[in-house]
Amino acid sequence: MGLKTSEKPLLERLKDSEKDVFMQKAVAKAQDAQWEKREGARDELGNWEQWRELGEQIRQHTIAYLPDYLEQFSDNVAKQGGKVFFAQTAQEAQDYVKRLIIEKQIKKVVKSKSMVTTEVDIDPMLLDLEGVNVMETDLAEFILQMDDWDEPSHIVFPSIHKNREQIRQVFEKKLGYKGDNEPVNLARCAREVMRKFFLEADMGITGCNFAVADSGIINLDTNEGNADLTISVPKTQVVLMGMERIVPTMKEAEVLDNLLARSAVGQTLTTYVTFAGKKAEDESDGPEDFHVVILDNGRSNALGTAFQSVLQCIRCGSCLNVCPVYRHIGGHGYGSIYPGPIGAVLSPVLGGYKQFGELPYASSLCGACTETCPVKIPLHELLIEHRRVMTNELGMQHGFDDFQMKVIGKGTSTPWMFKSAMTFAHAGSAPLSKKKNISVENMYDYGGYIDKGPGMVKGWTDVRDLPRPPKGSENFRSWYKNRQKAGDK
Amino acid sequence: MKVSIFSTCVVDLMFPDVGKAMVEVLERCGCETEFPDKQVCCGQPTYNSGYVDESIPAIRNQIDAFEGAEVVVGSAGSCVAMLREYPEIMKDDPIYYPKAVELANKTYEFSQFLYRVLGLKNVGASLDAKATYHRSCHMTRLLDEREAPFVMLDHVKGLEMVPLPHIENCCGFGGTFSVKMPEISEQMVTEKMNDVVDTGAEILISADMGCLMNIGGKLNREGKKIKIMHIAEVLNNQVDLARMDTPKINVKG
Amino acid sequence: MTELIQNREDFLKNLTEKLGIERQPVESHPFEPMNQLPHETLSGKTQDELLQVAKERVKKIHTNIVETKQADLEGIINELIGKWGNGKVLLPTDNRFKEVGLNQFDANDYANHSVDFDRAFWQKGADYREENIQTASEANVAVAFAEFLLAESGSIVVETHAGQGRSLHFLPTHYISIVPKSKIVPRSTQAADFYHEKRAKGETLGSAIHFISGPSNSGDIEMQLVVGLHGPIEVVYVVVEDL
Repeated sequence: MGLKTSEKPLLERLKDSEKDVFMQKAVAKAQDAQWEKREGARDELGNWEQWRELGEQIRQHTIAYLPDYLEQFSDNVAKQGGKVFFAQTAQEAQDYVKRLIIEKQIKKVVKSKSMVTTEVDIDPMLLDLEGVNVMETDLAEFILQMDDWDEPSHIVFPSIHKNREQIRQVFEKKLGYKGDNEPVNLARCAREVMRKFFLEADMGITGCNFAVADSGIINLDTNEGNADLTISVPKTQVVLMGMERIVPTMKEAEVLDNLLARSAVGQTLTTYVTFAGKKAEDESDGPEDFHVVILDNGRSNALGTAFQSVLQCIRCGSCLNVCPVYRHIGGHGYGSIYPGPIGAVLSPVLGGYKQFGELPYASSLCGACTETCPVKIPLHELLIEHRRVMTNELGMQHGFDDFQMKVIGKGTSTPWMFKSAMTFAHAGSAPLSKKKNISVENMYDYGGYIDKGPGMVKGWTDVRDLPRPPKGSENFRSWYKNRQKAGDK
Repeated sequence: MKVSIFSTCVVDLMFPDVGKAMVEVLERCGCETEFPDKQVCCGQPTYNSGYVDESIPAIRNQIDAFEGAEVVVGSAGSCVAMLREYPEIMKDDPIYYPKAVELANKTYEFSQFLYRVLGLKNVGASLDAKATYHRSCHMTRLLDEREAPFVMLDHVKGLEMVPLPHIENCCGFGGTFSVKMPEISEQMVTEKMNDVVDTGAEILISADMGCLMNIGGKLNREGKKIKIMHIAEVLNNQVDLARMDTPKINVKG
Repeated sequence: MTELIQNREDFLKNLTEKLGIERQPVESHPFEPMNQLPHETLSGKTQDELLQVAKERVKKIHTNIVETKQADLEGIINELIGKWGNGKVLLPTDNRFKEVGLNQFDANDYANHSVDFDRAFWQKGADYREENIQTASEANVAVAFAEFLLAESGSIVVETHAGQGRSLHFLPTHYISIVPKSKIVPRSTQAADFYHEKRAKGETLGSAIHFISGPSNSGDIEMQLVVGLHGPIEVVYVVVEDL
């Protein structure tokens, strides 16, 4: 799957999303529920704005000195006897894990939820290896795996697009489950299946919420307990982390854990907040063999550019949860494993404009994402910046006719052109205008409305009616001028 | 106090009655008005589409148009927010940057000006109706004005305000987004329309005509009966001078 | 060390070039937080007030707090285990049991104290890996000490040591955490500070530190909360007032 989840063009994906009524309802319900939980958790903490500023400061500081912290972190992992592999590309990361599995003759791999492992396509590689079995152990990811590796659609709730009955059917078909569709019973079934596999697993693969530079340990935040089993039972552990996922000390990790839990799920802390590395000599469980793969895979494209702040992201998903576009098109609409506002900013940075150039346009720039981000990434401004780079720097044409935009640029800066456009607008729209069936009052008082417009107007009138503009002599500036002349004031 | 009217192009071109109402309310409050004829557009259509270079002439024109104004009052939260962004956009322009700062510091959205600058809550308006208010995203989040319109509407005699569900969600206008991504915009405006209809309100009010043109356009397309009003029109409705607050500052001075 | 770290130099060189900076030791740019909110939040409260905060919080995370005195601790724990049907009880090899008078859980002394359940101990040393994990997976209950109770989030903090592995906290079906009341702190900040300072002093830390807030859970199916997934299904904190 990798970064890109669909070969279909955006318009086709949007049509698919529009047809998926269950998904839309599920997402809307989730957004509404999360809104209350998240805002409640933030209000309860108090001083939310100052907490965000602190979160932003921690992330900005770490990214600004990223090479230094990565050096310190990797030294500390090595001091404990762990191994660190720096991977420039997804392929290098994947190959490293593959070599390790073959070398160690690994048979059973347990994975706890990690966006990065999806980004580097670990699962298909594992499935291709003969004699190797893999199990996703986050409940949502497990459900997707059982459903023939369906794509995730949210970075915190990957199976948000599925309902309980769909899940029951999958469990019945794949696991011989005989029970009803109550979530608790489905979850117990999954627990049993996964527990058995856990106890036999010889490798665990995890992501990383934060890597603690001064101690060489990994901070993981989960609710289900699967990550903790993944770092306890198997003898070998591989951590896959994006290179930006680092903090100076446990103290900063703790602040971010708090921001993350409240923003992602409206909790005070996630049920399990774990700091762990390679097991100590005298301890009996935990990884004897501990590997950390640090991944660039396009992240460094953001450094030193306006997009550097996108690396501040702590993957809380709250920008998805407030996004009115995500609300309707869902995760799959974006065609990237990183959907929503953060995905629309991050995906083009990682995968380029050729693959993801449309995503920055799939936003009304309402700014809800920027407002909610716990580390203050100016997401909607970065969407405009992507658009600017594509038009002004790269000269990429984009759907909207380049010529028309340039005409608008002229028109909106030159009073006489604007004025003549206004004069023509009324006359020019005469044949298109309708006066019948006006149900909305005080909107169409200057000659009705247009319901089938040409050119640029078509996009508007495909969806809703457009007021017919008043005559030039009736517009506001004419009124004001005439009033002055008449000596009214 | 002399107020320079920033009509915004949507009001100038499409909704002159909103501009008239704004002028009448301001003058009733004791302000003198003027309309700088050089003004055109704040530059958002091109700027937000990524045509940043092409938007610079519009921004310069707007800065020139309001140079020397005492205070600028605009009819739309979104366009006013754009004027407040000018210093950031023009930060590398040694000539226009200081002018942009000056303009940003003296520009207000209409209800914000009444409430925060003139210190008014009641301008004597009355309207016997049940209404709901659509909060525009840019006015709320970029201009950070979450209070003024609600306070002003609360003091309109006879007006019953009902809360709009999902008030935090965008209506799907988004300027060029509405024509460039109609597939997404339609779903957003449809949900907004349904929320408006569910309130049972007779009137939908907002401080941004862009949003109202979008939601109203969808309501009309679906044949839903409702009246659309800009907040200036509401505050200019059946005014009883005796009920008006006195401005906290000496506007004549 | 070099074989433990691969491809680092090229990787970091690319980053420094893009950032336009020179590499320098981290000591030259210590992080100085712009505010002290983590320390100010819930500061200045008494142990009783903190306990009250914790009691309110645990209601929201499906966990019970039982308050007791040291003298009644044994009875309370036996009662809880009995309520869960006895069975196999996993215990860390931990001197604190003896110190608080829970001789029945002391690895050297337990045989002299009869109880209604089977006791198994987390054995010290790497050789016991399989055995310990197997025992933990079969255990109905685990009982262990908390290093801290974080009032704000209702979390207990545990640290691994030779006698107390990681999976002791996750594989058993039920879990009892013994919390000395003196170990209640306002929030996660104090726990992070404690381990940060311990490390700074050069002391050895356990290889895993867990902040655990109640039983495992998931909202992955239609966002409906399911309590009890991979980890324990039920969790009780026993707060000992005179410890």
